[in-house]
This record gives sequence, structure tokens and C-alpha cells, in this order.
Amino acid sequence: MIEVTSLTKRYGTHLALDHLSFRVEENEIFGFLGPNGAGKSTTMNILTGCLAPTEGTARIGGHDIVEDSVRARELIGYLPELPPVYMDMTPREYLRFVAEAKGIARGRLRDETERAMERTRITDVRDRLIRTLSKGYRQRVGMAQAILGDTKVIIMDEPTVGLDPIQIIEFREMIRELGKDHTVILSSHILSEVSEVCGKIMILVKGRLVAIDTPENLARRIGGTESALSLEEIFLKYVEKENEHEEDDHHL
Amino acid sequence: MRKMITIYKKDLRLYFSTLSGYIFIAAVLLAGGVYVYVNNFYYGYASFGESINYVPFFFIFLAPVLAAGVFTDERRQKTEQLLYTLPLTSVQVVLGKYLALITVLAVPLGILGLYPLVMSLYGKVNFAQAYANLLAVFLLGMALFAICMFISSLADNLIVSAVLCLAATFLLYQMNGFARVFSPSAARSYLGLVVLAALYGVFVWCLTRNLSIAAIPTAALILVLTLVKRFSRTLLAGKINLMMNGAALFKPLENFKAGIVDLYAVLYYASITVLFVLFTMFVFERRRWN
Repeated sequence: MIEVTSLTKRYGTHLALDHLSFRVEENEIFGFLGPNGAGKSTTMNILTGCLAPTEGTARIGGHDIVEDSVRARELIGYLPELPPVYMDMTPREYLRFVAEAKGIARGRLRDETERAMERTRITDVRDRLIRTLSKGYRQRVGMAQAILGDTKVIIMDEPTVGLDPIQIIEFREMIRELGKDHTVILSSHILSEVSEVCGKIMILVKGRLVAIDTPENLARRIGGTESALSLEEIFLKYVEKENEHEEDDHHL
Repeated sequence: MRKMITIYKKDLRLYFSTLSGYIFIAAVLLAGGVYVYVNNFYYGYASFGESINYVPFFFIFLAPVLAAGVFTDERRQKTEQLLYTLPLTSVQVVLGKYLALITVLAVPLGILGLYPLVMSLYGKVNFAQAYANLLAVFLLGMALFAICMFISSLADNLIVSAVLCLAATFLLYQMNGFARVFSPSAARSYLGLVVLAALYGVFVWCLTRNLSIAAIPTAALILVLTLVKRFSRTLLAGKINLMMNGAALFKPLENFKAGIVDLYAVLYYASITVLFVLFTMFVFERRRWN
């Protein structure tokens, strides 16, 4: 569904992404894991057509995100770190706007927005101004926007930041539910989160891919016995290893 | 087309769910009303067209009220990212937004357009002159809105955008006067043209964010100007005044006062509008990839 080949992004002399390549299959929940500044958001911005790669390509459902941008974006729903909502609209108005912009046929507008509101459980606040909604509800409105229409791929940048524990549990539930009929990519530096919902995890450190596998295999690869290591420990080991490499490079 | 209308409806809805749309409409109506009352009713002067011709003075402040936030508001609310991710083209987004702006402009002018009809019930009204002036005001507003929208596509926040819009509208309003007091000597002209060339460089840099594309033609222009100045004493004389007259956006308005639709002015306003809408599309597309 998503094919990324040798993706590189340079900001001046700073290398934000270094020849990143990976594939995400259909109906897979895929996690980007890495410390701050690892290149998670940069990768997501490229995948959603908000940023051009310096080198390399990204294809969504066979459409190149730069060459065939509109077709690729038709397949994507994106929930950035801060939900991109208009404070002076109600969720119903907002979702209708997004649905029209996604090109959903006039006859299906009502059903589609109703369905998205039901799936994200915001039906009871649909006629309140978004500015009066809590952070958790705004996040759900952002999610409803992302899943509207014929979206095949849902990309979420740290979707649970700023939510309370109950909201986090609900949100995870929602992500699992969506993963049944969507390809989902989510980023996080909260390790328990990705290990709980993701079928596959990619660890990024300083723009480089250091590991990509299922949570269980990652544990086996590093620690020998999978039960002995939590994902937290795996992650720290990878980051440490990567930093050691870097120090070796400096010594050379 | 349908997607453009989607953006159009969204922006129009936001103008009227916040105060900005109402403020603009009320202020234009107030300005028009005061001029009509004082000129036509109080002093008994017969020309509605001339009264309406004064209204654009208020566009100096009112165009930024509406247009300075066109893109900076999206940036503030982080919804710009949404516009980029949705399957929309830059042409659809920019045209939709621009049409929403000039719809708000058309509302008070449409209402003012009823005045001559009402007046005609009580006396003789020169309709040609009235509507020629109304058209001129609308065309000038279109050009100003396009320029302010362009500025807002470049600026990162509302304050910067509003200040720059205000500076631009004020400068364009005063340009006619500046052109008159600026000495037409060759030396002054040279200085003025060099500053203009530098401004051109800044403008191109704003559009492309590419230093060599901006700097090389600017340097070449300044070199040519310097050479011309060296070899001819008179060639540059008065040229800067000519350029300033070209940028005097409010000046062609005068030509409509007599009730003539000045084709030159119509083309002038139309080309400025088209140019700045295109510039905005260019900036919006460039910002997507940066």
C-alpha cells in the first residue's frame, strides 16, 4: 500500500532523513518509533504531500506523492499532531467541508459524515462550536476528518499526546478498530503505545532506520529471550547502539 | 470546480461566523452612506457617482481587515496542513478563497447600488455616472484584495500580514502624490530605479526563496542602470516618476468620475488582479513543498 524508497530530506546541511526505505502492507498498523527529532514527523509530512523529499520516492497505492499528488492524497487521511480544525465551525459543518473537499458525491455526504461521527463517537457534540470542545473531542474531530470518504491510509502523528488516560485507552481502541479495514501509520515516542496496537514497528534514530520488525521479533533479536525485555529496553538498546556507532565514526 | 466552491463556501461561512465580514460590510456602507448624505442630501449636490468615488479611501484600512488573514488564519489554526493534505490543487484553494473575498466586497457595493434607484424616485439621476463609479470602486477593491491576499500568503502571522497590507495599501494610495513631488532629474531617477530594482529582488526572493534567481537579475538590472547613467545624461530623467505613476493604484479612479468607463483603467485593474492571484497560487504551491 505504501512504498518508500531511499527517502532523503536535507534542511541546509542538516540531514533530517537519510535514505529511508520501507513498505507498509494493506490493513497493517505500522508504528514509527523514535526520540524527538528522529524524522518521524518529516516522514509523515512527505507521505501526506506537505513536504517534498530531497531525494527518493514515496508511493501511496501506486501513486507517486510528488508526481501524482492529488490521486495519492485522495487515498490519505492525515491527523497531524495538532488537529487541523476550524474553531469557528461545528463538527458537522467541518466534516461536511472536508467531505466535499475529498470529492465525496453529494448524495453520500450525509451518510459519510454521520458514519465518521459515529465511529469517532462525536455525534453528541456535532452542533457545538469546535472552540468549546475539550482537547480529547477536538482530537476525535480531527480523526473523523481523517477517516472520511474512501480513505485507505490513515496517518497519525502522536495521536494521544495531551489526552487523559481514559481518552488514551479509548483512542487505542479506535485505532485497533480502524486497522481492520485501513492501513494505519502512527508515530509515537511512547513505547507502550506502539507495542500495544502496532503489528510492525520501525525504529528511527537521527533520520536513519535502525530496525523494522514485529514487536516480538525485535525483542528476540536483541535480548535473546523475548519475555525478559520490554519494548522500552529494546528501544533504549537501539538508540544506544546507534549513538555508539556515531561516536565510533567521530573517533575514526 | 466543485472543490473550488467547497473552499469558497468554507471561507464565506468563516467571514460571517466571525465578525470580520460584518465589520467590512458595515464600514463600507457607513462610509458610502456618510458621503451620500453629506454630498447629495446636505449640500444638494446631484452626483451620486462622485460621492461613491470617495469610498475607496476607506479600503486602505478595510482591505487588510478582511484579506490580511486569508492565509495567516489557516496557519495559526494549523489548518493549512489540512488544505495541503486534502486532494485539492493550489488553483482551487486560491481561487476559492479569492472569490469568497470579493463576494464580501460585492455585498455592500450591491447595496449602495440600490441608492441611485431609490433616488430616482425623487429626482433625476445620472445612472451611467453612478454605475460607472460603482464599477470603478469594485475593480479597485478587487485589485487591492488580490494584493493583500498575496501578502497574507507570504506572511507567517496575522500581525505581520496586517501591517504589511496596511503599508502596501497606504503606499499605493499615496503613490500619485509621491510621483508629483519626486524630482525628475536623472540622478534622482537613477537612485529611485536602483531602489526599485532592489525591491524587485526582494519580491522575487519572497516568491521563490532562491537567492541566485533573485540576486542575479537584480544585479544585472543595477549594472544596466549604472551604465545607462554613465553614457547618457538625460535618458533616465523622469523615468522613476513614470514607474510611480504606473503604481498609483487609486489614480485611474478619477477617470470614472465623469461617468465614462475607462477601458484602460479596467484593463489596468484586471491585470493587477490576475497577476497577484497568480502570484498567490505560486507562493501557496511553493510553501507546500518547503
